[in-house]
Amino acid sequence: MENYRHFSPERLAADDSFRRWIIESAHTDSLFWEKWLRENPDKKELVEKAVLFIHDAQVSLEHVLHEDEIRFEIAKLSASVQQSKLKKKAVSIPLWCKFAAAILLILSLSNLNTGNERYVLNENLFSSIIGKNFNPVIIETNLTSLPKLILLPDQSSVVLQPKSKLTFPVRFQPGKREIYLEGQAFFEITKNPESPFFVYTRSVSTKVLGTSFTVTAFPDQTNATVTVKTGKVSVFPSARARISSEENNPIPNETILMPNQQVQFSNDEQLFTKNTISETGNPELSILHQSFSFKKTPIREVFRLLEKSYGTHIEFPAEKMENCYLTASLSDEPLLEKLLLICRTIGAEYQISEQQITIRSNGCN
Amino acid sequence: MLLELWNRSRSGDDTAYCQLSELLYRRLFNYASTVTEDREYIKDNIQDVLLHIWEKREDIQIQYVTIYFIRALRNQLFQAFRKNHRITLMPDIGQLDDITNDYSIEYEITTHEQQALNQERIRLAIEKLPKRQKEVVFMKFYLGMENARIAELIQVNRQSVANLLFKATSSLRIHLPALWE
Repeated sequence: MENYRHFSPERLAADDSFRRWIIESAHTDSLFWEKWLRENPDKKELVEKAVLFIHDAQVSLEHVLHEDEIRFEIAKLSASVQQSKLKKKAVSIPLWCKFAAAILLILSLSNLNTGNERYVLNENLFSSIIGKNFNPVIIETNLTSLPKLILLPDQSSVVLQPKSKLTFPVRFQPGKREIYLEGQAFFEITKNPESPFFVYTRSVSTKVLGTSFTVTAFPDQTNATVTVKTGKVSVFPSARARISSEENNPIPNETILMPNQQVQFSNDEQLFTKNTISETGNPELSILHQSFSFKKTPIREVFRLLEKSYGTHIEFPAEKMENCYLTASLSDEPLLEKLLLICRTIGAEYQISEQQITIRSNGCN
Repeated sequence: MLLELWNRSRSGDDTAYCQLSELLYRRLFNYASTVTEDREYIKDNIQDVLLHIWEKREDIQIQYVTIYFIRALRNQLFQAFRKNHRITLMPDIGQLDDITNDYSIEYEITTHEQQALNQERIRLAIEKLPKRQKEVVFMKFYLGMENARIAELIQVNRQSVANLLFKATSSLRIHLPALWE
């Protein structure tokens, strides 16, 4: 038998029998320790300190890991598991085309946490100093009633709709751009065939190699819908979305969407249904149907259209730019690319700081 | 619960596997944090382990789910360390002292709670332990494992686990004088 009288609180806290008493109230151990306390009344403080240490040590070994980070990682795993299933079945995965893609995705999601609008996961100071590859995750939440512009680390632009949440890393990993969405958003993705773009959600995942697409996801709907504007995308169900995998109910694999096509994924039936969309569908997301063709259009109207479509504010010297007109046909380039093209055409410059866009110009002749 | 999810995973239910992974994720992450501070590196390795176990699920027999996954992650991390010298393990103690000094000033400003302070002290004291002791302390105090299980997991005998724990708690005592005044 150990002589517990000479134990330090830390050592007592590590003792199996003591822990069984404190944590599980195990019968034999309880009898022993209650008797021991009666016989050693001067050691009450030692026991109290050991109990406190058990608790504090457990808490202190917890590292900062946000729920959304875990969800993001599990969504990634779910996609890999699906891919490995496809590989096993020897289904050929289609070659991804280089052209632009625009999709609209509506799906059911868990309750949206309220919280800060922009939340950069800040690991405690300690590891932010030490961490060699410190790459925090950004969680953008739009709690307003208006769309909100978000710029991704690869210069892609996202119009995040109200009640929506987007999780993405400060830097994308090479070879794969991955983000996690709850809610609804429109994406215009910078072209990079070497680094496909993945949008994960609770029930479906979408893979894109194109330049622009729209994603929408709302927490209170039971169906997921993906609509393609231009280009081509692949949609496959997330493993976690599937309630059962009955033998007589084969799992739909990935489905390929072409421009103006829409797919609905029903969570209840585990089915994909494909349709062709009408021009008038989804009025709240005007950018999906917005054309960006301009013919001698006054520049303030161009900026007004961009502001409206992207839910952002553009600061520009209105008086100086009185004589500026734009003739251009833009389509699904990310916002920053559009701005670059416009500025080149009219001899202006743009600047972005803290999500604020400022145009500099000395006017046009 | 975990074992049931695992059995369903084994028969090919990937939803169950994702649920299981979600339940285990925090524990896996916290375990890996005792070995390295590099969060992205940890996440990548957890992804690899989870995918690997999924692909090999039919050949795997599991008795204790958590222990199996922790062990798989442990092997993965050590293999990766051997391959990849770029990754630095925990900083040495000299480096830590500097940070500790800066940190406590910041810390005093932002919190008044004695308990939070105690937890922070314990955390820093545990950080200073040699890697092996730190790992055993994690298994003991975070996962709540008994010595026999720890011995099984890190493949040493029970007496060695007891010795490691004794050394660890002794040096924690030296590093935590304020806690026990």
